[in-house]
Amino acid sequence: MAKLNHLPFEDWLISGETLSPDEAEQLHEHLQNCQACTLLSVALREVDRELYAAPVITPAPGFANRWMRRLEAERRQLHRRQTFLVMFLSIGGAMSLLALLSLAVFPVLRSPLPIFLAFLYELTSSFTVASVLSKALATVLKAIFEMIPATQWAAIWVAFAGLCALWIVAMHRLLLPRRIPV
Amino acid sequence: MQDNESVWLARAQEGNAEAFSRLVETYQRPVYNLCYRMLNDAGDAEDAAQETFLRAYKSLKDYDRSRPFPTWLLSIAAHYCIDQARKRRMTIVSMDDLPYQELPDNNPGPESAMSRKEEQGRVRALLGTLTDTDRAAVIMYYWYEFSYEEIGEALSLSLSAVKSRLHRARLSMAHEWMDHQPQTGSAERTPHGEAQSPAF
Repeated sequence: MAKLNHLPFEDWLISGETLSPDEAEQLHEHLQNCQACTLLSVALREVDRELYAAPVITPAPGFANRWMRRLEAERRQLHRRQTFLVMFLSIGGAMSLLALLSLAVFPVLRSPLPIFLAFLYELTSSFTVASVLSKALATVLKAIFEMIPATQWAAIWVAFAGLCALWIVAMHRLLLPRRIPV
Repeated sequence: MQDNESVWLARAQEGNAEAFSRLVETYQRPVYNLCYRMLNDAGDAEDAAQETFLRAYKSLKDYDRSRPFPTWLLSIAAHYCIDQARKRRMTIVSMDDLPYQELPDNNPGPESAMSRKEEQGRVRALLGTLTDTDRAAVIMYYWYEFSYEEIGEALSLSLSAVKSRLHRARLSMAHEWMDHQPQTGSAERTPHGEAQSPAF
């Protein structure tokens, strides 16, 4: 019951907000009769005083330089981590390919003759197809050469050379190291 | 100063570390002070402040320029310190039992050193009675003179939660003061809202 009597006054004291003249008067009267609230009021005032008087603590000189060094160390660590990751992925990929290759090569090692014959058949077939295609291409090119006059051929070669030069310049510019701000 | 800050911020957001180091120079005091008051150890405060700036630099691209930069920065510092304090508590050591690293005393003379030590001890005892989030709210309220809204924004709390936490914290500190009855001192700083915070 005694606690209930302090409630609005305790809240007013702790909140520190501006009171209306009527509320201020009530609080003043209460403080004159209530030792607990008077003690609380003094304590709150002293706490405020203590905290407002406490200085802002400053770090040791050279804080920003130490931060820059830390950032550099962090970047180096990140770079190292990325390098390790790429290496790990490359080695892992190579190992997986090797494993797959081993699986594919295993039957060959057991019975190589049928596979060797199949390979020979594929090779000869490829040669035959290539020979037919080259003959057809030669016929078409011959026909085109006869259709286009020599002056037009010269113009085509000049245009082609120009495009090649343009491509070389563009590649050179693209591959130049860029300036990245640090 | 404000214009310079905007320029540095813009450059830092483009990835310029040199520009961000200017911001580090400008805000090292408030950030370090918050970390020191939260963790009560100069070494831990240095680490926490450095980490705060590192995190801020990394997430600078996500920073909303309409929000005040100090509030954003101190928010990162407060969250980091709250996490650190929780990790520290996992070792089941009370903050009062920790052998904290004292700050170097720049004022000569044994009297001033003693007075400063006593003052630090009193502030430490007052803040030591609070939970981590309440302590962060109190530090922002008293040292940086943040409004309830700013504290709420920095600590991701609602306005009513901030008011209730500050209410509870002030009561807890008052009880701590009543239990120990220290000698009264004189106020050096102005009360909340009357002048710009000296922390910046």
